[in-house]
Amino acid sequence: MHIITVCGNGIGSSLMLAGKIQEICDAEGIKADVESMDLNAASSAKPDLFVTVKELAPELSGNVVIVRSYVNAKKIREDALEAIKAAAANA
Amino acid sequence: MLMDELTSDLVLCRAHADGWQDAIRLAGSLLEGAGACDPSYTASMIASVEKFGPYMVLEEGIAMPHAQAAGNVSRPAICVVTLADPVPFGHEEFDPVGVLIGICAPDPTAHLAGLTELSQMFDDEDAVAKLMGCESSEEILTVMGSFFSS
Repeated sequence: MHIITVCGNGIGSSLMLAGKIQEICDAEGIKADVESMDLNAASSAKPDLFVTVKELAPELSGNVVIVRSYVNAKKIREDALEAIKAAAANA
Repeated sequence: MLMDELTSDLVLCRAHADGWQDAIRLAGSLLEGAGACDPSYTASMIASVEKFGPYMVLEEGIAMPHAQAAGNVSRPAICVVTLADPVPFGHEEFDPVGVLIGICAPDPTAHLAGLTELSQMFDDEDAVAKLMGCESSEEILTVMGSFFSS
């Protein structure tokens, strides 16, 4: 499964988020290829799932899950786990 | 990783900032002073918040200003600024911001792999309070180091 984490610049926040998402997938035994992108690049990408914050979510089309934090492992897990599982089931 | 290169000249303790732009400027001037980036990079960090909103406010009280390099960053670097009086960034949930972690890198992917490690500091729920409690740059370096010692 292909997951893309998105922030405005694609170099800071989204990279930290990608690390957290990878950890969640690994812990759940979900095979995922997680990468980070800036909003511009992401707008033409077609992953199984986008993960981003609510400010940027309206700019993306496709399967998007909103997280409250780019860095808080607990909040990210609470917000994204169900969507990751659902996307994995459909991938 | 980046943290190994965090030295006291890249740390500012209890600085005074007149608004969020000024706070980012303080972080930028540390990176510039260390020869890591040009003033135009500092301007892009501010422009980035203006364009995308305050999403770089990562958690309560802490922001990580950064931007895409455009030939104006010579090496990856990180800096830490704590503010005497926290300033609002316009974030609904996490304002006001008293700690800024400024970062820069010439290359968007390879050099910032260390950022995944930087996110470890947020596993400590008291990270911001600990940094705000520091009274000197040296103390900030010690506290930052403690987040990554495990």
